[in-house]
Amino acid sequence: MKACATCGISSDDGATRCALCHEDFPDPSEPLLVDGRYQVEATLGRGQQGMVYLARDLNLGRLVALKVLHPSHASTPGAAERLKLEAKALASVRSDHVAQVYSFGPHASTFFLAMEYVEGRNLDALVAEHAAHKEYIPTHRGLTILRQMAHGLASLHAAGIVHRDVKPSNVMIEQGTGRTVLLDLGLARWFVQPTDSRLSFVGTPAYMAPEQILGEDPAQIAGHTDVYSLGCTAFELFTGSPPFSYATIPETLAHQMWEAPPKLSSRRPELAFLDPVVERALTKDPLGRYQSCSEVIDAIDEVCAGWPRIEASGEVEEASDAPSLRLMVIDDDEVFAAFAAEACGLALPDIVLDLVCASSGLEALQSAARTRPDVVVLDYDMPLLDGLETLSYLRAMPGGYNAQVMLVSSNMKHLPKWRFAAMGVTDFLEKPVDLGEFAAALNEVAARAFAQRGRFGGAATL
Amino acid sequence: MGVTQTRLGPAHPGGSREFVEQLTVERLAEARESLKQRFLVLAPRRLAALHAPLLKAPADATARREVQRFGHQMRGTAATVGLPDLGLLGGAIEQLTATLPYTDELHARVTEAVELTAEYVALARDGGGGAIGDDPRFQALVSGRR
Repeated sequence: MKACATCGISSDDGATRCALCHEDFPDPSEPLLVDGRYQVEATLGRGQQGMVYLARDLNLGRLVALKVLHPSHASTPGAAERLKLEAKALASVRSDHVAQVYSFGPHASTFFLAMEYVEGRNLDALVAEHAAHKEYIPTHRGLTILRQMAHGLASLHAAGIVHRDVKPSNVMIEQGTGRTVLLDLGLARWFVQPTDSRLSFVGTPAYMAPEQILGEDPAQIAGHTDVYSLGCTAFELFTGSPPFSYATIPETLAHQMWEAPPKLSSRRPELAFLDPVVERALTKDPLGRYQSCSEVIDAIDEVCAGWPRIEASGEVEEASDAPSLRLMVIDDDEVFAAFAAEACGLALPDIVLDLVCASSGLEALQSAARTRPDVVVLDYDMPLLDGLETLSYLRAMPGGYNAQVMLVSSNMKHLPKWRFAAMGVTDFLEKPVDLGEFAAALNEVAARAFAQRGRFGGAATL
Repeated sequence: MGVTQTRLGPAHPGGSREFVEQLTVERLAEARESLKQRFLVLAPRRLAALHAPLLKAPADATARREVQRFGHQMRGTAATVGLPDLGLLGGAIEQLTATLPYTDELHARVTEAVELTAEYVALARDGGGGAIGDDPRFQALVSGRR
């Protein structure tokens, strides 16, 4: 069985060429190399749009998500120029919450796009996992995710790009940091075929704005279109399903067009305070919605005004010039905090460690506003704010998604690890823990923190 | 404890990748011993301070929860610093104070557990311990059978 590397069609009839796109089948003994530098390591997905591969950039050694467009999308007149222009616009977007575009170019009879590879879990998987436990993603965490999505969308809009397919499955929560990252940015429009009526609109019905469904006037599609989809995503994030979800696509589309959305509070009365925000995002008339994602961010901040909120300090403490790491131990048990501090010293003997030990979540957050930790060792069972709540607030702080977090608990068997997945936590350690083992685990987490800091332009690297 | 801020190192030579090999048995033992001593000083003091209000008012749910929380901490930390007996006692205190309704009988067992903790702390200070599972008093605490 052979598979076309460009369109994904399989064949076992001995043909040397793909019957659909006429590309030569790749030699299975040779790794696929795109643009002379991207070596394909695995297939991440395949669909109408083409193939998505996990590839290694041989020049820089990093992993990338490599999209190889289906040749039919590149064959229309002017497609090359149009795609190049849009790729340029995408590459100009700079946001921690948008998957970065690295390069674009021709490949065989089509084009490829190399993008940041974000390892983590999709938001839809996290929502489903919470639903399976008959729970919801905690409200504060949900709002942080939406806020970061809005930040990413605002950056796209500033570059003149409308995403057009905002939905939970296009949102990744990065492993280790919990950073929210938008995927498939603005790509939906690439696949419009003016001659193909079946594709005369793009998007996913359960998240599509009315003007997107009508698809008559491209000028109607703007930032507010993504605001509507963000509203649908918010509804799903908090209730487990989008506002309109029916058995058939026409039924879903008809409800998107004409039916008033259910109130969030009709499914979750305790979230009545969010009704006005979601309702406005889901207004049928584009002019009645928030006109920009910055307005959405302001609205989220307004509803959160009464919550404990730790603002970033104006005076962020500078890291040392020498290779250094900012490490925070949050544990109400003084001896365990001392143990963790000792382990930190053992784990990272060659660098300057700025170590903060905090005995409560609130103290930790106040300190984190100044110190911006790279690594956090967090106890789960703490009074007032437990580990989950503390982390939710930490992740919401500016730069809070840069911290690598290791969770420590003596109740690991009963610890709801799946809840921490929404915060990007994958490192867990059970008490009692051996000092050497703890130091080894910390060393690994610290290595990731250094890599992370490099990505966000920090000064120090190992 | 509040918030403490410290700047450490760089103190030791060598690449961090191979650091596990560089962690000498002596260095680890030294660190463990120092933490153990710290625990042996702090834990009995803290337990006594938290237990006193519960002793006075067994019906005080807040006081009971404080002791329960400390038992939980003790369970994780004592064993971590190489004091498994005290870890088991911490677990027993946590379990007894978490059981509702908190009866007079449970209260008496908690008091016995606190007294036994003081005894095992003294034993650990002298370098002893390690056999609490065989101690009939501990078995009675856990099972409730006299």
